[in-house]
Amino acid sequence: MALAVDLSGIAYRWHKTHPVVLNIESFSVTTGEKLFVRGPSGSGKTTLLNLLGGVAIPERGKLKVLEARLDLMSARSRDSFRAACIGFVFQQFNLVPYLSIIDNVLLPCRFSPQRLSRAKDRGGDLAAEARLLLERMGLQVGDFTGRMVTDLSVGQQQRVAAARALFGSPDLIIADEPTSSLDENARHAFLDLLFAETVKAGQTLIFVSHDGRLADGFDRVVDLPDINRAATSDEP
Amino acid sequence: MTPTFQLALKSLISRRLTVVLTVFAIAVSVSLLLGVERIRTEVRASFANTVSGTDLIIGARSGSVPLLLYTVFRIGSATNNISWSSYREIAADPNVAWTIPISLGDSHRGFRVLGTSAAYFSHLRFARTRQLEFDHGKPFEDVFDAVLGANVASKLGYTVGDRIVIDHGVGQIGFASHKDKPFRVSGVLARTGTPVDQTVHVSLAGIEAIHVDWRSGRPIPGLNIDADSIRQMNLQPKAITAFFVGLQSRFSTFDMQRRVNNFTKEPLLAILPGVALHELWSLMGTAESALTVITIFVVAAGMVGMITMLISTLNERRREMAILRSVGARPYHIFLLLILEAVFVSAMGAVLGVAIFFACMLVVLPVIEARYGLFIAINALSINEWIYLGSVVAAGIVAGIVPAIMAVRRSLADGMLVRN
Repeated sequence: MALAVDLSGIAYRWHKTHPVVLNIESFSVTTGEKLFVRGPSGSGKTTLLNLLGGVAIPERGKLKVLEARLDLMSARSRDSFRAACIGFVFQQFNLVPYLSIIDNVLLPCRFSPQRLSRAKDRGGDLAAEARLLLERMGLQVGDFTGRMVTDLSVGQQQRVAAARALFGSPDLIIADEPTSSLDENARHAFLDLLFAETVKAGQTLIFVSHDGRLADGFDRVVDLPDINRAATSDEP
Repeated sequence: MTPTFQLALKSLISRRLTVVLTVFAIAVSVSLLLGVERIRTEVRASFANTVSGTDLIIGARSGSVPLLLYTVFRIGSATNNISWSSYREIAADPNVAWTIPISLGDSHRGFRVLGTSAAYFSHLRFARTRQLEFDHGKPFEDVFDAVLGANVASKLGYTVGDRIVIDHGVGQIGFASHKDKPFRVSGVLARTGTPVDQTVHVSLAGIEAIHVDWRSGRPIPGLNIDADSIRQMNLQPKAITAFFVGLQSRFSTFDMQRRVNNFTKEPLLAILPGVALHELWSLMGTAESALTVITIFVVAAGMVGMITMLISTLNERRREMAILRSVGARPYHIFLLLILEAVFVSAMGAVLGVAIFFACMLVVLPVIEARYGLFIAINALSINEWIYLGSVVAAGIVAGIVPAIMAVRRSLADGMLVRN
């Protein structure tokens, strides 16, 4: 089966004088897989996400995401690759405070023609498409007209963030502790939505969390400290 | 460009209070810049327009700038008069085509009274070639006739036939008045945009007549001659303040000037109005440059305010930049976002500055006209002023580079995840 992520012989450090923070011999994710990566603080989680997103490149090793050798690409092409192929959801404060809910969801389309055309293929009107997606995530946008996104509850903000990550159907969804600021019920509801949407679109999901209890329902669980030979014990 | 353009706009709108204040600070500096430039050029043009076609101005020996100021612009007063005989002697020179004698020292309700001859209306030129014209009435004929400048008539509501009383001296409130010998308005001049508009013109004989029974600036006690008896008297003046000279040929200007300055019977000074004006500008040049430098510093202060506004928010905007990076924004977009914000702020400052500038002109120009008789038209922006506005926006771009580079460097260090 095709690999969505294929890493081998990766080493990364922030600066030449600093120690290596990520050292992965081999790590791969198959296309369409729902992978749970358990990563406590200091396990190199942030670095791994920056590498997968093409924001950082490794000192050595092969970094292949969705058949693209990010380590060989220019910074510019990595940026447009990220815009076109990866949707991100972060822990909190995911939204641009001065944009409306819809504008936040449409943000990736502003930077990626591919996501714009894919979103347009589904319907026609981008805003209507975004509204539909938000409704599937349980958010009636009509209820929030004129409200600042910063006025939304954290749970609502995370759903807007998830909608943005999913919008325009990127092949890979990377979620970094998206539920840590949610309560128990909201946490499971959020996960269910994420599963439902990614399965429907055949998207690969990489879910990173320090909380192993959330791993139920994922196809596979990977412990980052196990694969990162440079991992430190806990807090750096 | 387009997504960043919208982001920059929306970002500024979300911070409207600080943005408006920053825009306002820049706008005030821009209006100051335009105002100083406009007043400077217009005053020069207006001054240059005031005296045209006159080859020499001759008065008692003082400085060329004071002589120009009190004869042409009615600013300040003469230190000395010149004798009628000297005037006649020079006026009789074969090189001289015409002369306009003037006699100053009295006023009417704050407006200067100028004694002169009929030559004033036929030979005085302004705005290069324009001649004085009458809106109503005609030049003075009788001893007690007066011709009013356009502003005098409109401000005080006088029309032909009205009677006016001339005050002795040139203060805002005359110390004493010649109320026993009122003048009759015989004509009102058309507006010229020069100090002529602020002047009450009477004949030299009229000036002489109201001072017949005066000595040393006050009425002679017990001596009170009525107007009709005065008409019968010899009203040839013994002295005048100065006179304007038009020559037969401009080539004789310097020769004539040298001869007047070497006049042996009394110390005289002949000036070329253009040269004296130039001297005046070089006197004012330092003050003008100082003003311009101050204005430029005020604009710079406005720009620093904008840089401060942009930099102060960078820290709280780190997450925003990280989000933008995560959805595919390149460092170039981050850079452009900050530059565009700076451009918007400075451009809005420039636009608002122009609005404030024109609003202030509407308020200030009538005051300048009333006080100094300088008429300044409210014209569209000149090329120079457009260049100033362009420079302000360009300065905004340059000012935006600092926060833009800072934002890019931080964003590159942060990546998609801001670590606290």
